[in-house]
Amino acid sequence: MGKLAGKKLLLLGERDGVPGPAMEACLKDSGAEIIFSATECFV
Amino acid sequence: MSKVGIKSYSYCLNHAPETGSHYGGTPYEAFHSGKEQEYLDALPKFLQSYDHALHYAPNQTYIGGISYEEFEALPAGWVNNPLPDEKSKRYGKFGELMPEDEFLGLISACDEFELVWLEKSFAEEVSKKLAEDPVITEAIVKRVIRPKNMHEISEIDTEVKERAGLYLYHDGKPVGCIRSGHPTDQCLTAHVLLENLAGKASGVLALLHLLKNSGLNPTDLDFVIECSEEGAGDVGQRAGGNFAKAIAEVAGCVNASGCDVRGFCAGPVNAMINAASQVAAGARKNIAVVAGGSIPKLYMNSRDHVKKGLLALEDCVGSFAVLIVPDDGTNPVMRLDVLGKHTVGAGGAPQAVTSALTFEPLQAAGLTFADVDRFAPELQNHEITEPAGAGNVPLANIKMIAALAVMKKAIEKADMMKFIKEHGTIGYAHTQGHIPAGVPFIGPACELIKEGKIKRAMIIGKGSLFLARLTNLADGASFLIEAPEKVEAQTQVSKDDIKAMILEALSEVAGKLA
Amino acid sequence: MDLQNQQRVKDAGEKYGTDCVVILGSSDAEGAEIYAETVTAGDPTYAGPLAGVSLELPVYHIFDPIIRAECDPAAWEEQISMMEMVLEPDALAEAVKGMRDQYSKNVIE
Repeated sequence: MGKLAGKKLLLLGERDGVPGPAMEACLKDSGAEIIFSATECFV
Repeated sequence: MSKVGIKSYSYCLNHAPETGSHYGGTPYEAFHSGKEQEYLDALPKFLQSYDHALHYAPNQTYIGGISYEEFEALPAGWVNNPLPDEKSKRYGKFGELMPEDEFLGLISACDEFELVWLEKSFAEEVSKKLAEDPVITEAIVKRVIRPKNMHEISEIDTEVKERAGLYLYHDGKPVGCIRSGHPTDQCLTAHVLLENLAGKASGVLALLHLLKNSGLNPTDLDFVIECSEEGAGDVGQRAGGNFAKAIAEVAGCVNASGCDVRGFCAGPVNAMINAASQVAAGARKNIAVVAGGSIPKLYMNSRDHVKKGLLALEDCVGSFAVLIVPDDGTNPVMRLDVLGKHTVGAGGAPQAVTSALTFEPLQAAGLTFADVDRFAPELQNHEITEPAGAGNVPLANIKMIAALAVMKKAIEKADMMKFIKEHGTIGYAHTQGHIPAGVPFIGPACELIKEGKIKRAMIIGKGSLFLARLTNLADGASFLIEAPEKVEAQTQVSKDDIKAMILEALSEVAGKLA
Repeated sequence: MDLQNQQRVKDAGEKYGTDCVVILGSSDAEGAEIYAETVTAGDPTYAGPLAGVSLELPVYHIFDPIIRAECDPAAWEEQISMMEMVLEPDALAEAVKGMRDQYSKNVIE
């Protein structure tokens, strides 16, 4: 089991950084539950 | 190969610090939440004067007061290094930076429904000032002083206090109001109507400068495509539109029609592709792609600017216009055979987006990254975004292109910084959403092409669709601008060619006789 | 931080406590720091639902080695590897760590 197993993930991405869906793809099999993933844009 | 000519372009700014500090999204929200009095009290102390805005290098670069090359050579810290007076004029090669009082007059001139009331003496004064502007027509000047748009301040007070109007300010005092368009419809509140009329007015200014820059008679304009991020409509159709036609009307383009194209910050690039396709197909003789700017985006990051004691620089409504004509070999061209297209299935990872918008179209054209002299992805001014914790967006975007070039083995990793310096662009546009999305560089790119300094530039727009809560998909589009192929080379026939053609024809005839 | 996202973090934090782990994809170290502060000590701008609310959530940047180690390597390669060249991964991870060390509870070691 990974260190994130059983955790609840809140993913706050950024359009010109790492967007939410990209983090989601990387962490979907981490054993944690993704509660939500969002992306923000500052411009 | 399908291509069209980019005949002309215009870029304008409307200074709007008082309108922005009241009705920009961030201050307006803060005012209504009632939670941020400290910020609201402090904001007026950090506004930039018109004179300072004129001396601010990114603004002059936008309106063409200085060339992009001059801008690039300036030392860092533009805000502390004002340009000399001779480079800080109201009018530049591409357009102008209009002061706020005249902008209010122009907004009033763009009103067809008695929504804008200006105090009589103020209206008369700004109409005289507007008359001095070389692109403002006599008809527009007269519209500012239509009796139905001029009222006593007591009537304006009543409209604001009793009928949900909003004051318009100049020099700290109310000089007019924008009226509510309907007692209950949330799409026709005074705030929404101000946003839409300001978008229309700034679009009109850009179109007028485009007509001047191109020498095109207003009556010869065939079509307008507007591509801002505003939504004009009523409760039954919240963003029904047609800003394009409304803008063309004020600019006197009686033979033009128009429509709007939307797509957040990718709107302008999509509008360019749309317009170019129609012109290339022969459906339209010429098309002006136009966008006005945004009141709600004014002072978007000002909380952070105020907190850090910095000038709040997000005080200009931006606009632009580009005239697309058939390719006749004299203008820089926009290619239609290689377009960057972000597909539904491409995914939102930055590398997927960057690949779809740069690598894939270049590969299809048989080109590589180094063949593009300049990439113009996002052109936000980093002096605005960095203090707000949003980083240097243009630099991040050009780094993405460089990193992708490394991954595709087009350049060495050690050459990334060199590539960024040589092929990148530095941002100078206001954080006006769709305005900085690649399109500000169409003008400078065409200038550099005409001067023979570059051969090819790529304009890239990226949209944040998630903002509307419709989809989480990323979005973007891109196109290439290139030097025109010399017409002489295509059509000039040499004596040898003629000789060969005659010989060929003769041998055909001889063959038939035999 | 966007007010709606603050509300979502607040709702999740109140429901699950520090079992929630916030992971940031910010491009700028200073921006990352403000976000990390918002989900631990509270909204420093006092504009949103997390103003004065200390959730003390464990918070990391996606580039933190602890989180990176939990990511699917193939997905990382496809989705994020390019941004490692673009952004400053160490500075971003450090900026968030600074806030985490001060304000987070139930951190992952």
